[in-house]
Amino acid sequence: MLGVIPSIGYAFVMQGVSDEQLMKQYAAGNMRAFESLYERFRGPLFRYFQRQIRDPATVNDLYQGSWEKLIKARTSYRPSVPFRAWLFRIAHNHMVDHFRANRIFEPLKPEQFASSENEPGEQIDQDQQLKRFYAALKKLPDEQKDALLLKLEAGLGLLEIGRVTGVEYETVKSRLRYAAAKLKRSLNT
Amino acid sequence: MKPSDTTHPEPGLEQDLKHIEQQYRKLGNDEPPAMLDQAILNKARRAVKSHAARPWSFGWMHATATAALLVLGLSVILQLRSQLEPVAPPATVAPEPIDAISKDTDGRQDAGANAMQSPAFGDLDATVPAEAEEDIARGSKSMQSDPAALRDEADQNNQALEKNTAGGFRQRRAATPAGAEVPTEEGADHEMFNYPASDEAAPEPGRKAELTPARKPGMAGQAELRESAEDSRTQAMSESVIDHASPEEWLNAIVAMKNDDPDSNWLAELRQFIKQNPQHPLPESLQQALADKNPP
Repeated sequence: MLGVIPSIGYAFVMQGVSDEQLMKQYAAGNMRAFESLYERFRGPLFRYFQRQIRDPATVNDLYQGSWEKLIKARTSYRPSVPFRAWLFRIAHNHMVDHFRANRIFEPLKPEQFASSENEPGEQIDQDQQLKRFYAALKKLPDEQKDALLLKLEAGLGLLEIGRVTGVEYETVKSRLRYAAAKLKRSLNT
Repeated sequence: MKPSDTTHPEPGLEQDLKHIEQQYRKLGNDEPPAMLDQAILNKARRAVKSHAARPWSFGWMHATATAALLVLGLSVILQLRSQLEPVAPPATVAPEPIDAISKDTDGRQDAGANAMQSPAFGDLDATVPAEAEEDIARGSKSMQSDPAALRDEADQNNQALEKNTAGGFRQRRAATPAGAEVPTEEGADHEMFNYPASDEAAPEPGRKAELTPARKPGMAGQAELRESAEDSRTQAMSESVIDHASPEEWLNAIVAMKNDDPDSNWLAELRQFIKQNPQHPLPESLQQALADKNPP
């Protein structure tokens, strides 16, 4: 992954440094720290948008806009807040603002979940499974889908998901339980 | 990605989520385009560079506060400087001693001398001090005279003065007894020719001798000196016409009028003199001038 962005090869040196320390260093002017942070979170953040929004241009806009908001707010960051939760809160709020402004929510398509890296023999079974998985995910309410992606892509705990989305812990747990049950049924059938 | 969940959900839910996550990872790890990565990194780099390039920048609020402080300090400094600057000293006219004020003649002479020493008076007529001296002598004499006699004399000369003088100040002085106080400018129009007939209400003859010199030591500045010199000069001329104690002085005053201003009514004054003193010989200059004015 680091080979994709040559400029962030410095991330190897920063492997033992926590996300919060890196963000603090970047706020103090260390560009290398930001490169390392970016390398860690570029994929999860991009997929967080990509798996909720159909339009690739909108995904790119929201992805870039989230990072720009983070850059602007770098001096206001407090290391007491986990960087992961802070970044995805920015992303979640940016997406909610976008949907409120446009009053639409674009559903996902099955092909957006497909991967071309599978073995040829398993293609048919996996395609069917992905289709079913997609069908179940498609039917998920937006809140459940958002909570599930924050769990799977951002790796946030239930409490952090509640802080990011602005709901109680029990609400997050309930949303995840419903989402998991639906997806599990789609996989077992 | 390793989850950072510290609050474990129910065991059944956790197992379900793990199973779903395994299935979810099969969907692939899509990544943002390289151009998007570069744009974001450039943006982050520019933000850091612009901040580092302006280490002095405190934000707009600090800049505004600094500018306001500078303006305030500058205004205070200017205010203090303007207050501490020494006040320009008054005109170099030494005040007369108090005992000199009480003396009419000394005060008028000093005022005339100061006026003549002033550079602004270089072009004044040199005959002014001499006339002022005559006037001073007459003023001293009038102090010893009877006020009623002085008023009679003034009334007698008033007609002749009205013919000669066109300016209001001369009329005012002619209507005033020789020793009376000169009315102020504010009340001049009302007081002109309106002195009461009774002697009790009329100003005392010595009042002028007291007031005129006392007013002059208080004057400061060349403008006031010029005014005092002009005043003494015109006063001397007008009073020489009015208060001619002797025919010789009257003639001298007429000669002075003729020399000062040939266009003045010195001829009417001369005729008045001849009328009152038909036997008195006239100076050759006046005889010649009279002959020129009245050719045979």
